[in-house]
Amino acid sequence: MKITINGKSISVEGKRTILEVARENGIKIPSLCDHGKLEHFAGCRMCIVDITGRKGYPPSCSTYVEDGMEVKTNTPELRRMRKQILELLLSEHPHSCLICEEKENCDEYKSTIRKVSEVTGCVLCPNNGRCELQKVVEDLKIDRVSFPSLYRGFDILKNDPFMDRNYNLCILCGRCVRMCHEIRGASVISFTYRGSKAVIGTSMDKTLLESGCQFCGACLDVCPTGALMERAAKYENEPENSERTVCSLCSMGCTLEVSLSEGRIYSTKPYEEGLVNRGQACVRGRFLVRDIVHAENRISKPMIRKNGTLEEVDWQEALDFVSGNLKKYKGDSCGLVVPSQASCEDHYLFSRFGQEALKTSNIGNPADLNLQACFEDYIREKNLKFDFNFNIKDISNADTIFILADDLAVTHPMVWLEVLAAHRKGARLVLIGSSPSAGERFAVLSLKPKAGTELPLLQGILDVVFEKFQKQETAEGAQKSMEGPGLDQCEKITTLKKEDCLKAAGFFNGKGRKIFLVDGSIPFLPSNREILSVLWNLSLLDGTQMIVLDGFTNSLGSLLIYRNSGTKIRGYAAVLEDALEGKLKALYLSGPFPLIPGEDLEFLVVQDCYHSAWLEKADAVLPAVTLFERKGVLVNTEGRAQKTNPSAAISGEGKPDWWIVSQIAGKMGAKGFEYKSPSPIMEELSRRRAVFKDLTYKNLAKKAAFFLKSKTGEQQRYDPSGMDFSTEEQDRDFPLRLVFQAVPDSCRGFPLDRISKSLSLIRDSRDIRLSKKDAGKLKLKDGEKVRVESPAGSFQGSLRISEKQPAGLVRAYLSLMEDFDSSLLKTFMTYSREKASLRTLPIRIKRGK
Amino acid sequence: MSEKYLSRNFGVTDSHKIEVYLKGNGYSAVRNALKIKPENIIEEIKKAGLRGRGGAGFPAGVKWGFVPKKTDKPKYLCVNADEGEPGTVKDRYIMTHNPHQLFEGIIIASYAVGINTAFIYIRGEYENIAQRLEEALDEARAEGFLGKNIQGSGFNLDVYVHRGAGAYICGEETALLESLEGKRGNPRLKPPFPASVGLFNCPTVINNVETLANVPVIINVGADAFQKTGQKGDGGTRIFGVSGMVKKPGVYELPVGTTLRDIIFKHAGGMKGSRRLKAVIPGGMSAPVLTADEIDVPMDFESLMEKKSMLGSAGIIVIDQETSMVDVLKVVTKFYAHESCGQCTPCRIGNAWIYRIVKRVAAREAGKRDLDTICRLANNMLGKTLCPLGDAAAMPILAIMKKFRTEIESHLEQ
Amino acid sequence: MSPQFSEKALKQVEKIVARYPHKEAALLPVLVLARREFGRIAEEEEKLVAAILGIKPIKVREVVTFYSMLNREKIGKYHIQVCSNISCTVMGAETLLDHIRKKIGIEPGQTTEDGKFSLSTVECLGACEMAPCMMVNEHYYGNLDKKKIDKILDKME
Repeated sequence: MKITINGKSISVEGKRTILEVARENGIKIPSLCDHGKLEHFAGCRMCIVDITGRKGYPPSCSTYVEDGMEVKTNTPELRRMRKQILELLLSEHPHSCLICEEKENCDEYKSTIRKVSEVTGCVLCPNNGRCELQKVVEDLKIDRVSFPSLYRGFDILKNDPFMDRNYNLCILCGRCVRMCHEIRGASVISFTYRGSKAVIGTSMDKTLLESGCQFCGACLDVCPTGALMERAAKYENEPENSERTVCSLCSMGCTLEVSLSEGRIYSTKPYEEGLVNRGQACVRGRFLVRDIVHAENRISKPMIRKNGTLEEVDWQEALDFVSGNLKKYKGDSCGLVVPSQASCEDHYLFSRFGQEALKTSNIGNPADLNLQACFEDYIREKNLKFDFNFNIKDISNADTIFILADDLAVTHPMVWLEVLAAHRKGARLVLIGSSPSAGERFAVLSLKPKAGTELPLLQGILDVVFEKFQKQETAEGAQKSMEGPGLDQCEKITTLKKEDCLKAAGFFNGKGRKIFLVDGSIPFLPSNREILSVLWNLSLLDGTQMIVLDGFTNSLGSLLIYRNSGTKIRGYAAVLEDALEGKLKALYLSGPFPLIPGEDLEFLVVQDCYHSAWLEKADAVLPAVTLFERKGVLVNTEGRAQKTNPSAAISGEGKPDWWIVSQIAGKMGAKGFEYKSPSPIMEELSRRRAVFKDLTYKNLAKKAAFFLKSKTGEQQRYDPSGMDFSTEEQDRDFPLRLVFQAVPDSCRGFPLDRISKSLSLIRDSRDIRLSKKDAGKLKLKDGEKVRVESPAGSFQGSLRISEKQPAGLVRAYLSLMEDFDSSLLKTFMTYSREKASLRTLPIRIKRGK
Repeated sequence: MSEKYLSRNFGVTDSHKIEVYLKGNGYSAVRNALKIKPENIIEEIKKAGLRGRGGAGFPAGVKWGFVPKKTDKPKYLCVNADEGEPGTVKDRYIMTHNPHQLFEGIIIASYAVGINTAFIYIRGEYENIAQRLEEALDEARAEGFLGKNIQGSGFNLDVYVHRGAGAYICGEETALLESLEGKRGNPRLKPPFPASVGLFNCPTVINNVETLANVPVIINVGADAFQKTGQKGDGGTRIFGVSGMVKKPGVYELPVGTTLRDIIFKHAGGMKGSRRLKAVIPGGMSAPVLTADEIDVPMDFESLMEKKSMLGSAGIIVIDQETSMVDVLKVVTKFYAHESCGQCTPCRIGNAWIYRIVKRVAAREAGKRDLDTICRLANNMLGKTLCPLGDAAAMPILAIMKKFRTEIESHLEQ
Repeated sequence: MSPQFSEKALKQVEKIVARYPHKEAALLPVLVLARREFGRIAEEEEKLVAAILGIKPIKVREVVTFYSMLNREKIGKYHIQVCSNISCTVMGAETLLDHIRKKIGIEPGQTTEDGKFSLSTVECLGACEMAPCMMVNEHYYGNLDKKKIDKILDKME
């Protein structure tokens, strides 16, 4: 169709708004409330236009073009009316600077006087220079406001982590509300009151934290004024430049824009065109990067233990010391734990370092404990055909989504946003499992079986699906492969209603595109191996796409590196076990390890970013740098390979992991470790491992998106496996069950809440989560110190009472906790041997000290 | 003698009870209509020239015709009983004295459009009336006029009363839908129009109480007779609510097109005591004020538009010489400032400023320039808000400022 | 002690919820019911309604603050709402308001110390033909003058 804007003929295709078409054609229309990703609001009325034959002045942001439409966007009348509307906004917004005649001089000389909390003009506003209102004022050339300034006198809200809110600056465009509601599905904030008293608020005026905010920062990034401000960046100078990089704080791989000031990170924001995140981030990418890179407890210099104390030395001395000592422990008596956050280059060199220099098979990759690893084990063993790759965008096109996962909003925020997008388009959400999650409000069905009875539930569902499937068609080889518990038994074991199981099975049998999202919570559930096979069979039967999510940065990449190395690597659990049994004489610790080594260990090297309890026992400490300070290739949970870029100056004398291990390997006499940059390492990896074929820096730069070739196995068949449905007996002395979860926010295993106090307010890795009911029974209060006791051992933490937590179940993060008893770990390891998994432990909770 | 389509039984003892209503040949329209093809009913309503009685005056038959016939979604009827336009009392009378005639309209409209669920959105203050409606609904259900298989026709309809909680804006049809869905009464962007995407995203008809109460009349008397009662294609009668300084304030059902002078002086008994007429607001507060020499206007949509006012909800407010127009202005501006939902800048901040300035005018703390500012602010609302509230506020303010500027200026000088 | 709906009210809630395809749609009627039960909608009541309907508390908050009848403060046994809109103003509502103010000794927006009366001015009540008018609880009183007001208020115990 054809329309004319200001006399210019423009051809338009599809459903477009006047504002969109105008902007694409270089026609400027001021606008404040509209935002490309959000539903139209049409409230600010800055974008009004004149359409021939139409009454009034419709807003161009929400008026769709029609064939033959004649639009005027810039008549003197429109300009006058816009000015008047803007004047109204300014009458309630501190504006003295905006219209000050000397504002240019002021901009030059007083660029940073923002240290007052009350904003009375732009030079005092933390958003000065970035404010959209400011730009519109300039565009419309406002030089006077014909009303007295009206200060609304709202308290400035500074009691939340990461951000301050000053609603005296708010123009009620509603972008934050729409973002929070429509895109993030969080609905923490909304409009309250009406008319001129309207203000953005929370339920009962609580803090954002108390209102369940996850601090993704999306509201802040769409705020056109300084009403919402990132506290840490508030009083800094303007950033000098910005770099684009990939966030390395979880397995999503969001693209971030890092703005820098004097080599320090000023702020990180999600990149609009990011392939994974498309302008969105979570608390980690949005608020924590600055803190973790510039943390006070960064290890800045190499250290070696001399006469019982660690002393700072130069790199040469440290490398000589470490390599000299390690030579004595070649073989399996030396353990190597690799980082949970490292690039493919790092992991490749760690694998070579372990095998060629340390000559040990005791290489532990923390990702070994993850779901993808368990699943990889499973399908490899059974030679099943599976592709780990998926495209995050496909999720939003699903018709039915099953979720067996922890709170995806926390563990896989971008996946969760796609699930929400699917829900907005009408997809059904079915939640399975006892994990409390943000998804419940959106689910058509939420199956919460008794803690630890996920397997009988899934088996019950599978039985129903199978029966129907058999009736519908006789697929080749489709024989009833497993003897399920039957629905009656299922009802008894899981305490769920039979109808609900039937309903769920109905959804599995349903039409349309079905996706089953499973995440890392499974290894921590009882009988995970069997669950994997039930899942496999379920997805095979009804044509559901199973997506196996993982929680670690580059864990898929690292798995494929170590597991395709050609020689036997015993894995993380084995290293842990050997350490517990005192079999390790030397340990090269570069990743998380829930255990302080005992007296048997003769030599401990710590290669890490942060000071931690392990340093007390370390014989040598080598400072590593984060992935925000260097180049590296990361594979995210989709199987997508992306490159990080150095976005901050290296802190202290830290070095990249690949550099450190190649230096030590070289000094130990291993050949072929002469690398000067990561790019040749990547090239070598792409030649040596088939899955990484063609994955080079050159190709990454060329291709818009690069996915690993992670397809495995050949067979697509049902997998009959033996089932054990006996539920564990309840122990009277230890009536509760403990489930461990991976810490969702960590840098190389170091819990980020230890670095960021703000984060610890949202979720503390030392939290022990208990249901309201159980807490009531035990007369325990929120925040209280408690001691978790099991027949095997105990640990301490602080109690977090959760209304969503199912009764009888206790959750804690698996990290090195205060007072963590290593015998507890031993128990886990025993379970682990028997069931190839970590199981729930019988425990009791007591008031701690 | 003019027709009394709606007010025949106002004042009859127990007129709200179904047994009384049935004695007066009540529900005959429903019985007959259920035998007519739905599309023919819509045609009949169109032919009758029944225009919306809520304020905007949109032809009811045309509105019904917009609803898609074939859809896999349920369709809804929302009865707008939010009667909040100052000066308007007619729906209260209909619901109090003649609820079953309203129900007849609801049933016929629902049948014609293919609707099985209707909600009566009634303003929160009408608590006793809501109670009365509930009782009347029970009666209608018991007599088989509501519920399953109405009068053996196979047609089902459930009607529910939904109470508001104090917000003028919810009388705006899309705000009403939002409110009914349990949200803030913020008007929606149009398009999409409620006929295709309305309540719970389903096709929806929204009609005023009086509009629907006229539907059985059309079935009973026929489209032609109904149309002829009115003027200029604007059919039927209107219940004029007359309030203010008249001898006999009250409701008067008269043919569309009766002159304002006749209504005030013939029907409402003229001015009270020795008061003299100064101004009249002819169609609820949003209708621009008329001066004493403008009252020979026939009360129909077209004629009032020619006078740059509007028939609106036909609530006539009679203002006498002793009432200060500054006070009127203050009341008007306070009202809109109080009732703006707050979404659009010109209305949210504009109305607040207008009221602030008018308060200064009333206190004689303002100058003539402030009067210009009031006009500028009001003008800047016209045609620049999402819903009609912006215009509804601007028009009466501008009319007062134009027609009574001298009085207001002299108030400032006193 | 947090507020709890009576058995009877809970039954009504159930009935109300059943009318709508979404629970959220029952919010306003349930709030109106809660207001009648508890005399106000403050934080505890907001929480209760959110829990009963299974919606986020913010959804209740945004609605409660929008509608003027959902008072947050506790009100007196008799809530006098005097119309201050146009027809009533023309008919002398302001003088009557003054009279009531003096009579019960409080300003609009206040409640008498004994909790007997609360006074508010409100926008049009939809009873213009009997201006000046007022509402006391759910009852309308029209064609008011000072004498009539005295008679009405004096009868209230």
